[in-house]
Amino acid sequence: MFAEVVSASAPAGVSASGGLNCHLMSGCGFPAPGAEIFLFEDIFTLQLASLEFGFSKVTVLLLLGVVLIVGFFTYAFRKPKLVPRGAQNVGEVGYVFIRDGIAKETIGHGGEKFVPFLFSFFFFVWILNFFGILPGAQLPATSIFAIPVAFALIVYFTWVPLGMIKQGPIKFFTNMMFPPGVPKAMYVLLAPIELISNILVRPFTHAVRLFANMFAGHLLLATFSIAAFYLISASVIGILGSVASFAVTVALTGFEAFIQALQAYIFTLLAAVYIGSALHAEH
Amino acid sequence: MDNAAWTISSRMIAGIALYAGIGWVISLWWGNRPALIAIGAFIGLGLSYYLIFTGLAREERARQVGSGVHHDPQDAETDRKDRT
Repeated sequence: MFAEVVSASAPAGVSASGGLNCHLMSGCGFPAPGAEIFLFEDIFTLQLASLEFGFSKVTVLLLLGVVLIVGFFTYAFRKPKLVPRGAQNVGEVGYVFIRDGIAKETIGHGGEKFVPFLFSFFFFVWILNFFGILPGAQLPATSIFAIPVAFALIVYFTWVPLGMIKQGPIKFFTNMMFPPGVPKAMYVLLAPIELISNILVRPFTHAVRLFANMFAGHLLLATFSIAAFYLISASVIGILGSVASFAVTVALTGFEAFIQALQAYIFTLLAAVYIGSALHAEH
Repeated sequence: MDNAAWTISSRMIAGIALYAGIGWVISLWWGNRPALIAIGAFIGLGLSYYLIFTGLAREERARQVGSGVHHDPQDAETDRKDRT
């Protein structure tokens, strides 16, 4: 019984290498990708005193993202000109987009101070997402749950202390729990919902929204690319299916490019919404 | 500030989870009555809808009155400084 389950979950020809010898007519089932495509072995480890740091593909992509972002914006603003050209132009468009499109629009008064914070988040999340369709990388680093969780926690530990400073440590929570325009008697039922939704559920949905989108997108791309490869065989249905799967992979790659930018925008926008709610209590 | 729209999902999760949880605790206390969990979830759903709609209505009113955050004079001041 147990052997059957094991063999069902790992059909013949499937291995960590992705089952390269597995095709339609070679008598093996479709090697559908599962959660294992998000697991990576350490490439190398770094020993510092008694601490051991493992570097997997994900860690390398994170570092690469940092290097790319810092490198690009240092290059763009190395000699700022009054009339921006080239890379500086791109950098300024990005900055103005975050400042006017997110910070001023969502936070309102007092949002200017948070432009660098939101700007860094937007471009870092975007490049990590973009690694999903970058040939060679082909893994959105944000599809590893720990990374969006870390980002969401940074945002969480920014807006909660900020709200406690701006509105007062107790007032911050009472402002949150007692929204205006509700009959007094209803507060008994509604205040706990508001508290849980703001303090516990917010950081969770913030992280899950980014993670789930990138995870699902990567899984879709992997499924259709493996299908295109698997269906190559000397049969009409195999060739047709392979071509169709390849076309879907190309279309999904374009779609993912859009989703990656959109999710980076939504993540940043939500960070701005949370910071805004800490700065200004609802009246 | 379209805050209320972004809090819909977290309010629904919080409402359902909280009242289903209360229902579960009561069902343990009264001796295994799992229907209370479902009743709790529905009550939570209803209350979170109530919160969502009052929140959205409040923002809509603020927008119509035009006294929202966008129009406070300090913002106009910073805008002017930026342009010069």
